[in-house]
Amino acid sequence: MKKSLPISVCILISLALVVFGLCFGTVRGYNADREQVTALLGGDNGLMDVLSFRGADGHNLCVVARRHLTASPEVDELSRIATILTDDTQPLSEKKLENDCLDAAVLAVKAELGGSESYLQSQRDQKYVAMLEGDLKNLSAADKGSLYNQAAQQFNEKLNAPVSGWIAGLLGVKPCELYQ
Amino acid sequence: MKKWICGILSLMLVLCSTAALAAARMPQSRGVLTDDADVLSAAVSAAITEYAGDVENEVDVNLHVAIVHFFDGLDAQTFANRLFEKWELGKEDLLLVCAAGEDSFATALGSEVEKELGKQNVDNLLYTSSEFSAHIARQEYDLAFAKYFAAFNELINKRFDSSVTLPKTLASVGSYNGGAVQEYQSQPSGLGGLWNQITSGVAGEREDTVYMPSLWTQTVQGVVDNSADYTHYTEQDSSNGIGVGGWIILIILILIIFSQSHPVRKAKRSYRKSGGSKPLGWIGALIGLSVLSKLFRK
Repeated sequence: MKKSLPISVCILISLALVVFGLCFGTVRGYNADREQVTALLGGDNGLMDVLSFRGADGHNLCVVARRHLTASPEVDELSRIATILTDDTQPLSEKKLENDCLDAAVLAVKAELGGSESYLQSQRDQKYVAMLEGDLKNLSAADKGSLYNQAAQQFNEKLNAPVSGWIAGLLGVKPCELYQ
Repeated sequence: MKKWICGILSLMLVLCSTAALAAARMPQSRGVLTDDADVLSAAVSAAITEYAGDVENEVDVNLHVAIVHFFDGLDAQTFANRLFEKWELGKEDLLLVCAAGEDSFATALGSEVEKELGKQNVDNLLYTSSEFSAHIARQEYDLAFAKYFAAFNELINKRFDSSVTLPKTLASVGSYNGGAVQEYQSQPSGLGGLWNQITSGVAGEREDTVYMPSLWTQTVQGVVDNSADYTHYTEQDSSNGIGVGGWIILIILILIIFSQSHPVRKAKRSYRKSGGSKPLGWIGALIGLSVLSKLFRK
């Protein structure tokens, strides 16, 4: 003869299943949202890649500038900024700081190049500088930093919202780091 | 012993520093020749592709050439090695990379090619045998590649004891000596690609437009697409939770649990005894509706 379950046990098991369903669903949903925000930061062509490409343009400009300028502090400074932007191990806050200085450093190098006779005679390098400036501008135009910050802020606010946010937080869903 | 430890530590340091470098923009393979910098003429480009086919058929070496404007802060050899990996090249592949804006270049070889030709011999082609480096420094790209492949052809014929011949275009361009460069470049077919034309003013580029290599344009497009993916996701109805299917499975599980409870079993037995056979009545008994209705009647 089969054993029957007391109704109280059935109710408890059902409640446990419902709670599991709620928690699992909440964590799954929050993780999916977080994944999307993370893709904006570290995904292919995300914010980290944009910073890295801007750093790469900085390095490329240094290559062009060093053909005409020897021992230039402006080029050294640009190279330092570019190195930080292309270094995966640097924290996001550090990259933000250096990215904010990149455009000024590029302008300083360009101004320095303007005083170089060999640069003024090199149509090729003038085109390269224009090309690199254009690429830096195009990469900035996407305004990836603002979009990421907006997305991260929205996610963090959602994570602080009552019940579902608290459950997700308790079950290990972490807030997103802001680009600041 | 100390030397060994120092060697291992240096190697680890080099590996770590390389790994720390973020991804450089690398072109997608377009076959034998990927001229993202657009510096080679159509005739030389076609001849390189033709020659690569001949080399593959004769000696089983697959040639690949990638030309970009810059290496994005990487040194030439690191860029070559990474591109070799990215393009998933194998034992019989040889990759020659060149950055037109840096006057820099390197080769990456598959293990079989390295065994047959030797890395040193292949690198010598770049610096001494072919005057490749000198022509690259003078932005004579057609000539540089034609001379390189002429020297490369000699090397493979010697090493493999083969008789691969250069396509006519490569042979004729490669046979120009220093004094004849001007003569070669003045021929309409000898003008390099778009970049050469722009820098020599032939293309008549407008002042307000800036030439952009396709690799960079694609990268910027990729950045825009990445943002669009997120916007698209947020515009969709967010399906947080376990979904309708999940809830249905959960309800079925709960019903199965309840059907094993004492009162439901009792109800099912009494329903069967009363001769009930309608499907709805049976299902109602199964999920314990009869028990609930009895409770309400009380």
